[in-house]
This record gives sequence, C-alpha cells and structure tokens, in this order.
Amino acid sequence: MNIPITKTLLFDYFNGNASALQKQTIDEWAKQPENEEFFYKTLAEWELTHPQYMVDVSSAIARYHDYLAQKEGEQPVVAMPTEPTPFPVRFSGWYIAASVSILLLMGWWFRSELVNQTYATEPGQIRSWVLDDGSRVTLNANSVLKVPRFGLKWVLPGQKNREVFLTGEAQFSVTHTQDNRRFIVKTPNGLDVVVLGTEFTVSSRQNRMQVVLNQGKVVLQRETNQTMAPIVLTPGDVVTLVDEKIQRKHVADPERFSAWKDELFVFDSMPLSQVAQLLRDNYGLHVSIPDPALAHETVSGSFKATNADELLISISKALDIQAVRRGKKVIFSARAND
Amino acid sequence: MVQTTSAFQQPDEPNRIEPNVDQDSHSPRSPSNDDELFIRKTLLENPQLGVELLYKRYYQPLCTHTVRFVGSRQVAEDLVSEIFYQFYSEGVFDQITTSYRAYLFRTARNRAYNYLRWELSRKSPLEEATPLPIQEFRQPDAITQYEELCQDVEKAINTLPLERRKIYLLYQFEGRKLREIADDLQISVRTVEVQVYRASQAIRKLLKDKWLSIALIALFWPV
Repeated sequence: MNIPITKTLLFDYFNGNASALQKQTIDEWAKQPENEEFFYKTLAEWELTHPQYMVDVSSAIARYHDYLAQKEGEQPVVAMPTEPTPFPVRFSGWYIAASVSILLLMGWWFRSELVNQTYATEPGQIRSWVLDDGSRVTLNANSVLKVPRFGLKWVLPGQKNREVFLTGEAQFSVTHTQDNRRFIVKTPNGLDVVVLGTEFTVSSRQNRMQVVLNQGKVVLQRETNQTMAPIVLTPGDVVTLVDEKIQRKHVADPERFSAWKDELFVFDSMPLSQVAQLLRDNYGLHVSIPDPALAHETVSGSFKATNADELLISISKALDIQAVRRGKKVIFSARAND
Repeated sequence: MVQTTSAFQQPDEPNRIEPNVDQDSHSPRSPSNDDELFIRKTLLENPQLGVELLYKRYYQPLCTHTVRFVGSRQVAEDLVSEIFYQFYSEGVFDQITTSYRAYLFRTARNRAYNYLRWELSRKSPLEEATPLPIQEFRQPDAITQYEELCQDVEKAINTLPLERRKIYLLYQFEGRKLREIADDLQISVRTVEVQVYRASQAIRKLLKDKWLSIALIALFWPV
C-alpha cells in the first residue's frame, strides 16, 4: 500500500475526484476494521462542510419526542429510574376503549381499502397485472380497479363469484375456474359484466359505458336486476350505454377497442369532439374546440402515441389543424392561412 | 470481549485503534480523547437524553449523506430517524463496539443503498403496498461502491433539463410543497407534479441499468 490514506485524500474521494488507483487503495484500506473509525470520522466531517441541504434538527428531535410519547405505556427496553405516574394506570381502561373505538372507526372508514386491493393508472399510463386467480387485466390511463383481497382465489362463505369494481377502461382476459365461478365486473354505471372465461374490454367513463367482447361469452345485467333482460354478447359485439340508453352493434375487428393496450389509438370516423373526450379520459386534458364545424370533423386511422403530446401532433397532422397546448388546456383550431 | 457497558470506565478498549497512517494531515485522536465519551455516559444513565445528544451531533450529517443516495429529503429523514428510534427502542447502543458515529453512518449507508435498490426494482403498486423489509445483510463488498452510487445519483440529477431539475430540487431537497413551487414559478400544480414525476422516472432509468444488474449479480455471486 503505497498511497497513504489521509483526510485530504478521503475528501477528494468523497468529492468524486479520486483516481481509479486511489479508489482501489481506499477499498483495500477500508477492509481493515481498524480503519473504519477514521473513515467515518472523516465522512462526518466532510458532510458537515459539504451539506446537501439545510437540515432542521430541532424538528427532528421534536418528532423523536413524539415517538417517545407514543411509545409510553409500552414496556421500556431499558429500565429508567423515573417514578411511575399513577395517571395512565387509572385511566388505562378508558384509553383502551378509546383506542379500540378509534380503530373500529378507522376500519369502517377505510373498509374499502382494507377489503379491496386497488390497482390504478395515472393519466397517460397503461399497465397490466395478473390477478390472484390468473386472470389478466390491462388498465387504460386514468382508471381504477378494485379487487377483493380475499375471494378471488378462495371461496368465502356467501361469495361464489369473483367480483371486481372498475372505473375507467380496462381489458380483461379471464381464466376459467374448475368450479365455474363467474367473474363479474361492476361499474358505477350500474351495468355488470358477467363472465366465465374470455377476453373483453370494459370502458366506464362518466356517463358512458362500453363493453366489447373479443372471445368467449359474456352477459350484461343490471346491478339491480329489474326492467332489463340480461344481454348475451357474442365475439365482436359492442354494447354501449349512454344516458341509460343501450346500443348494440357488431364489428369485425373487436381488437381495435383494446388497441390502447399497445399505445395505439384506432379511430374509425371519430368526430373530433369524441377525440376531445378521449383526451380528457386518458390524459386529464381539457380540450376546447371553438369552431363547431371543426368539432364535427372526423378522424380515421390508427395512431401510435406514448403520450398526450404525440397523440395531439398526430391528430393535428391528420386533420391539418392546429393544436395548442398550455398546461392542461388544449385548443383545437383551424390552421392559420399562410 | 470488552463489555460496552464498561466502555466509559475504560476508554482504552482494544477496538478503538488509530488508523495506521501518518498523522500530519488530520488531527490525532488518541483513545484518551474519545470524543463520544460524554454521549456514552449519558446513554447509560438516561438513554432518551443520550439519543437526543446523538441527534444533535449526527442527525444533520447523516441526513445530508443519505439524501445523496435516495434523492429525497423526506425519505432520507425517515430512514435516519428510524435508525435513531431503533437505537433507542431496541437498546442497540448497548451492543455497539465501534464508535456511535461509525455505527450510525454504516447503518445509514446500508439502508440508503438497500432502499435505492428496492426503489429501482419495484414495478407495480402491488409491490409498493407491501414494501420488502429493508435488510442489513446485503451490502456491497467494496466501500467505494457507495460513493460511486451517490455520485451516479448526482450525475443523473444533473442530466435533467434545467427547469425540471430546479423543480425536482425544490421539491425533494428543499422540501417545498407542490403548491408553493407552482405559485413561485407561476405554473399549475399539475405541471409541478408532472415535472417531479418525470424527473424521478428519468433518474430511475439512468440508475436502473447499472445498479440493478450489479445488485442482482451480487446476490448470485458465490461468496
């Protein structure tokens, strides 16, 4: 070991100015336990002279006191020569009662979080998960899926179905179970999708809901099953619920309704106003189209876009219009004549 | 083995040997001027107060060191505070044979390192919901890996576009609220949020390739 390890050298090293050879020497040197003290002493000294930010030590100590106060009542690890105060003892029964009722209240409050596992995507984000029962779900942007923590895999008494709760848009690929347990997608729109094992897309945005079946067989039924007879879908069927009105059509290419999975947007003569709605659903953008004629123009084609800006550029190019984005606001307008 | 409980009575315990180097460039520290003697005494008599003294002395350098790894003031302070809490509640100080400083820094570096590795490897909110226990035993074999890691973090921060870096530092290092930053810079809260998110993603991406694979190799490396 030819290079002596000095404070200066260690400072250089902490500053990122040590040579490869110096680093190697420090490595070897630091392996000796007796050098540890000097290393950390120097490190502490260096940190004090090169702070990354101003640390508020007194509020940290205040938090430490809070922590100690919280721990009070628990058995102290080290016996302390302090006199026990009678106060906590006399009222400990009340404390327990209060704690239990607060816990119960919290449990009730957060019951949805306790019972359900939540999967969520942020604006502009697409993500897939495999659920406990082996079913695969892909969430489109800005969507939330709640799945009971217990019950997908194990049949609890009174729970024969696999029920999940969706707000937003998702594609499901549901596995079939031995005991034919049904997979039910519940939505805020009050229409349930009942499945045995298949592939389909559910979109539940504000007052519009859409179900597209790729494979297998699903049944739609009202949550409160009156008035409406269950609708049985066959592959290629698209059912849309807008303002309590149900529309049903058949398409040859149901895959395009789940093209978003691959960050692909497939539009088939879609009015610009609907594109605006989609931008709001997926990216949280507020789109305004001052010219009503423009709002009725339609877009066709498939666009690959990994974020809102890419999609905006593709659309404005396709229609030869102008899209101006300022933060969350987007304005579509006719291109200025040049 | 020397009992720590008796350490303050005989400060010349064999573990505290001076580094075997020339003493010109740094102040000599002979066993007799053990600079933690007072804290050691206090810890034995009144652990609560002793830990408070440790706070006053080491909390700041520990936090500013940890933040170099984890890139967030909040996370750094949580990690460091946790060490102090355990120090007190689990009576850790009773079993330490090195200086408290060495123990605290070593632990902080390990936890920061493991936290960052865990942070880089997690993928979905499913995993976020059940954070892996941070374990002490996975440590890099060379001490210089720690510095290399935090220098890489710094480099990654420096590659951010100017505006994004500014927002990231305001939020993560200065601990400013999203709202405050938005008002100061006259932009929307949402924009600040997006900038912070993008910054974290960019830093993650830069670190991931190198450090995640190293960590994985280390795991499967025959010891």
